[in-house]
Amino acid sequence: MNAIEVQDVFYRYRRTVDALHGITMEVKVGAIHGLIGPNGAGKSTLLQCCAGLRYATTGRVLVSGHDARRVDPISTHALGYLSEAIKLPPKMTLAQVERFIAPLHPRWDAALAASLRASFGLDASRRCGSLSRGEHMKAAMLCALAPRPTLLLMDEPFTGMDVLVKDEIVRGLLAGALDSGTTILIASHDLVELETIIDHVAILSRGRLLVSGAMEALRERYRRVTVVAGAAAIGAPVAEASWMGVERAGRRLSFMADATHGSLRADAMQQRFPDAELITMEEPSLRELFATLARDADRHTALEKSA
Amino acid sequence: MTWSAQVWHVLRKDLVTKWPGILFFAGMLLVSMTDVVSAVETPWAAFSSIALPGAFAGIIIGGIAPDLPARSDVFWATQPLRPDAVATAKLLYLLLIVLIGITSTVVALRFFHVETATVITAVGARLWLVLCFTIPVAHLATIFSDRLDPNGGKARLVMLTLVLLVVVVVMTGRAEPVMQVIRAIPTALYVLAFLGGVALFVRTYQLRERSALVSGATIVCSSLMLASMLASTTPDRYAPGAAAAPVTVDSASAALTAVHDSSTGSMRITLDHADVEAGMVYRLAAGTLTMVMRDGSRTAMQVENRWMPVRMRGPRPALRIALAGEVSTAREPRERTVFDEIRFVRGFDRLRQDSVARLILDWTLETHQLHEVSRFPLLDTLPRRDKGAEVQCISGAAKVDGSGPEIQVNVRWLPLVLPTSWWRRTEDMGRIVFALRDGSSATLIPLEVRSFHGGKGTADQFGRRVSSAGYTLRVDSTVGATSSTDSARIDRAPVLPSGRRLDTASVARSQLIVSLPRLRSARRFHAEFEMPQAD
Repeated sequence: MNAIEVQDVFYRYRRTVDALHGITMEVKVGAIHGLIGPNGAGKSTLLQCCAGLRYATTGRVLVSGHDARRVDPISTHALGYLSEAIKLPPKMTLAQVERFIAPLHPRWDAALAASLRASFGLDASRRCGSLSRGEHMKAAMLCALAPRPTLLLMDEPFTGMDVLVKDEIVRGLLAGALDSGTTILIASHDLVELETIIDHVAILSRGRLLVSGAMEALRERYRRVTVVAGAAAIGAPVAEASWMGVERAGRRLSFMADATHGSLRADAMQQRFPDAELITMEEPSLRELFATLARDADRHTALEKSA
Repeated sequence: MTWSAQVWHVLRKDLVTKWPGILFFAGMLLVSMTDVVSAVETPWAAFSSIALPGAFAGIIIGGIAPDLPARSDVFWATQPLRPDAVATAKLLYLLLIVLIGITSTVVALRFFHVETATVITAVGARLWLVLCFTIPVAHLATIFSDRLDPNGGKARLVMLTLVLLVVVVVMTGRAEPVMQVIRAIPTALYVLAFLGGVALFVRTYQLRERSALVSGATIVCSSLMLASMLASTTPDRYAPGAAAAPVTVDSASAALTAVHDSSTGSMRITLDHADVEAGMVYRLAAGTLTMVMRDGSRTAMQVENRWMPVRMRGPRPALRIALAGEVSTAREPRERTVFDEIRFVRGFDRLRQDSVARLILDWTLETHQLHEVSRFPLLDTLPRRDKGAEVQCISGAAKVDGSGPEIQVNVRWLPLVLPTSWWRRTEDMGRIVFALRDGSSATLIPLEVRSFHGGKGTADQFGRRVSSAGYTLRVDSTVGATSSTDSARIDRAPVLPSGRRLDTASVARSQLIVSLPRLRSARRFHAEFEMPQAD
């Protein structure tokens, strides 16, 4: 069973703006699934639909096989949600917040909470309203992690955190969560941190899902191809429809190739660029993949449809 | 955690975090009660009518705001809490606030020796008003969820609530056709609107996104609840009492006129006394008011010249004014005794339009002779001390500036006068009579001074203004556990009968006379007044 199944979900704000446009994806149990996309792509909306905080206009979101809109709140202790937009009660101290939510979670880990508080340098006696943005985010993360949820939804969890804390979270906490089998769906712009922990990724752009799958599969599917022409400059080859992110700089031509829509074999490339002095084909980084797909989102969508 | 445990959990959290505000609100209620029980109008009247609803709205909004229902970024929504449990906790919170308000009122009024049954009747009658205010304000908080940020968002919403309330009251109060429609709405519909409002409140927590249908229904129910408030607070009858029932005993006569404001269960009765004797102080005492209903039934209540529920002022002796050599007869030799039964009429529900056919008032008019305690020149800036029978010391000072003379009088009461309890009876202060005396004339300008209740061991200053003999006095009172100091001040220049203002030279010749009244005689009055029937 998938931890989350998103089935052809549309979400419309104020009856005019389509925040999500026919999203279909799944998050496997135990996976750490990254959700990336430019601003306004619909990441937060999708996470909120998964958390049952918003209702899809059409389509369904299933969490552990149940409609996210009708998930029994008592059983949602298995669900942790962290968002940069979450506002902890401003008048309550962190200690009060902890005392309030701890009884709600059967798996509340007081030791973990204390450990997080110490490592985040949080003062439990301070009111949440007086915390800085970064501290507030740390406190919210404490509240999301200490219940030891089986499904953790995180929306920009690194906002306002310094490099050390980011590093600590990425290496320690999330790795620990992975060990305990927690499924994590995480949306972030911090692609460097994200790439080190996620095993699945979904890329959104303008409410549409560009790609979703295991990182392994995506690395197999896409290649960053760089062609360096010889002394006799190669003529301007006609860019293929499947090439994305085509860049030219002098004798250098670079593009992202999709194995689904063309061969990524070296001999095929050599045949395509017979005068090339050098042809390299590399696995793209997550950042490269995201940037390329996001920029050529329309072309990618058209390719997907034609396929 | 079970549903009920969740309800209690959320409620306890709200109470733990909101108790300072709740305590402050209860304190405000207690203070505002001093206006209710005061014999005279106090600054707390304005305080009660504006600040109290504002504070109440603030507590409501403050309780709703931390766990707003319809926003995606609310903290509770990310926790395993049932939305209906949260909503129920919020409703219990609101109910608890109302109960705390009622308890504060009852405690305060018991403190003022008002009968519990009277208090409960009156408070119970107003419970509906409070509830009809509470639910729409709670809805308002949910509607403006996204504005309730910590940076003054709640304060702005409280202001908006008050402004809306005032606008609705003013607009509908001036539009009689609207009021007629509101009054024509059956009570059952109001009850349904209230129940609907409660149900919608719970529904709002269950729905992540408010639908147009729910919003529309919320607006309709809230409007009906506000209309219900208006219907029960707006006067539906005003009988100026063109006819009067004159009665005369000895040299004093009295005419009873009445204003019957039935929709709020309030009644104002006015007694005009004519030809009262100069140099005397009159006091209305031992009154009994009988309301004869049109169905023949009778309701009688005691009219007491102290505490609740009647506000009463005795006639003052000034009939002829002589100041700075000018003698005035322009002032009508008539004093008016007004006692209000505004807030606590037994048989509240019976006071419907035209329900009262006749008012019968029996009372005793006590005549008191003034006994001079102290006198001193007005412009004596050095405090004078004098011992009277019950007054420990009196000091006074006066000054004259461009706006006229200003007189400050301080009176310290003997511990014997001031009860060991720190609440002093109204009459104690009311008995003292201040008067201006022109140096060349024997006539007085009485300056009535009424006391205000103070608190034990506090340095609270209570101020008020009363009109007296064409002047305005300001009375400040500081009451301690064993002694009390009251002061009076003329705030503006007295205008002489010729229209000339009292100047420095005139003030220099004037004296301030402090007197205490002694009972000389008492006469029993009886008056009946037919209430005109509305068209």
